[in-house]
Amino acid sequence: MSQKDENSLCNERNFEIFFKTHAAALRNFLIVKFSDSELAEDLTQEAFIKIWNICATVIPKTAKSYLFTIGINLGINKKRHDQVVFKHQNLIVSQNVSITNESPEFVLLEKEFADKFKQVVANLSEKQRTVFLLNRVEKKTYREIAEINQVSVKAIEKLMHKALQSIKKEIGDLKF
Amino acid sequence: MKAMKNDFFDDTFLARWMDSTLTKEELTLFKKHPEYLKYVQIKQVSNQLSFSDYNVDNAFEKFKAKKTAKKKTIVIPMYKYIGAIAATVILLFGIFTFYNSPNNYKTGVASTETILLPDGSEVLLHSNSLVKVNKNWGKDRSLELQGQAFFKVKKGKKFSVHTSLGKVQVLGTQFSVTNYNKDLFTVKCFEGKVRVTTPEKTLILTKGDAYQWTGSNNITWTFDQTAPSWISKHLVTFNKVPLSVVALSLENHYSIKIINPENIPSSNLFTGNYTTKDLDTALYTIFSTVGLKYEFSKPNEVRILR
Repeated sequence: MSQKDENSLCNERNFEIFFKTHAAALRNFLIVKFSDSELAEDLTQEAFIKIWNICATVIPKTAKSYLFTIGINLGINKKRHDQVVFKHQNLIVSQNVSITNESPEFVLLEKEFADKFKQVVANLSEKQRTVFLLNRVEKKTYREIAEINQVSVKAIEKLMHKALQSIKKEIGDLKF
Repeated sequence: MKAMKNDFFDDTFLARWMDSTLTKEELTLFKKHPEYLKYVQIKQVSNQLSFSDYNVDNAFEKFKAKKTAKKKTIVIPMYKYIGAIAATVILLFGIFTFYNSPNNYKTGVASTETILLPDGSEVLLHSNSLVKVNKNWGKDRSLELQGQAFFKVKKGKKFSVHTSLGKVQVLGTQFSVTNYNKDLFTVKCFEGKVRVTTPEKTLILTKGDAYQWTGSNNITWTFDQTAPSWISKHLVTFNKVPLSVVALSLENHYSIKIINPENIPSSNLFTGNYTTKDLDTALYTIFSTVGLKYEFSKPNEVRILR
């Protein structure tokens, strides 16, 4: 087996690893971009199929960014509406910290806060929400987000700052 | 006049705080801000945010069904054990892999690695964990584990995971095992069936069952997840585990030392999680539940304050 064949994405095993490594990240990124998890999942499948069909010409090193570019372009082509409401059902807040003897009221308050939090995030402006979700959920750095959106790091930081101020304002006095 | 409390030194302040890139002076000043704790709460909840679950394996199966076969070369079906020919090919591949790769896998601090075993089974190894794989995998699918891992086992011969406190055997399933020295042994079954054997007992877990031994207690419970939270959400989750063991796990993941662990109340059982991405938030999460304050005596050392 030559070195070239071993790394090729046309090798089923290599492609499977490629798929399983990036599928979730791509799908989540597309949710942030297009606000719809069903659409994101369809776009993810299509993007991988496109890469598979041209596997012989894909360089493994740049395959990931190529994959994401394809996914985004497919989405832009598909979307008919410019403004889409971000469905807060796309988000989940995982279980909170608790000690064994918490009261039922405490648990209820936690859930209330989590629901309100998700709603507030969904209501952020598109740019603020995108930066917030990419950073907090997808763990992308400000630099990475800036590169993806072709703007300066400062612009991203300003958006994050504004997003946090908005969240704090909307969350108001709800305690948890 | 806008209330002073909404003004910050500049319009990227909060972003840099989230990123832990504030200067020491800025951070000290911020901590005195009347709304500081509110922002900490927001940061903490945002660490627990994730998108709805996405089953990558199902997605891959869907993908396989969709793609058209354009290649002329013969594709080896790794996931079907249908006959001797297939089995022989797989075994050959197994030997080839072992010839070229080590049978010991160790992860470093704060990193997770996926190991693909010769039969197509997968091991997702959590940070600071070690797995020793049996050299003769084709004959006996067994390995040793120290730390924490999630296993996706392909159908085939018996698959065993050995730890210092017990062993887990399965026939084609998904499960996670956690073992910290003699302090904690946790097995969670996400799919299929596993058999857990300890010096004291043997039990069978099916999808959604969990078993745990914490040095003094056996407990079992049911849960509802498709994959461990440390994989999908970068959280390490505990159910009724002594706080001291949770602290141990945190020390392990972040490679820090708590220099006075005797100040951690041993009777408190912890149910919840901490983030694997931010040490400050993780420490706050664990210690704030029992009202403990702490400080960094050195960059890698934490002292609990009474």
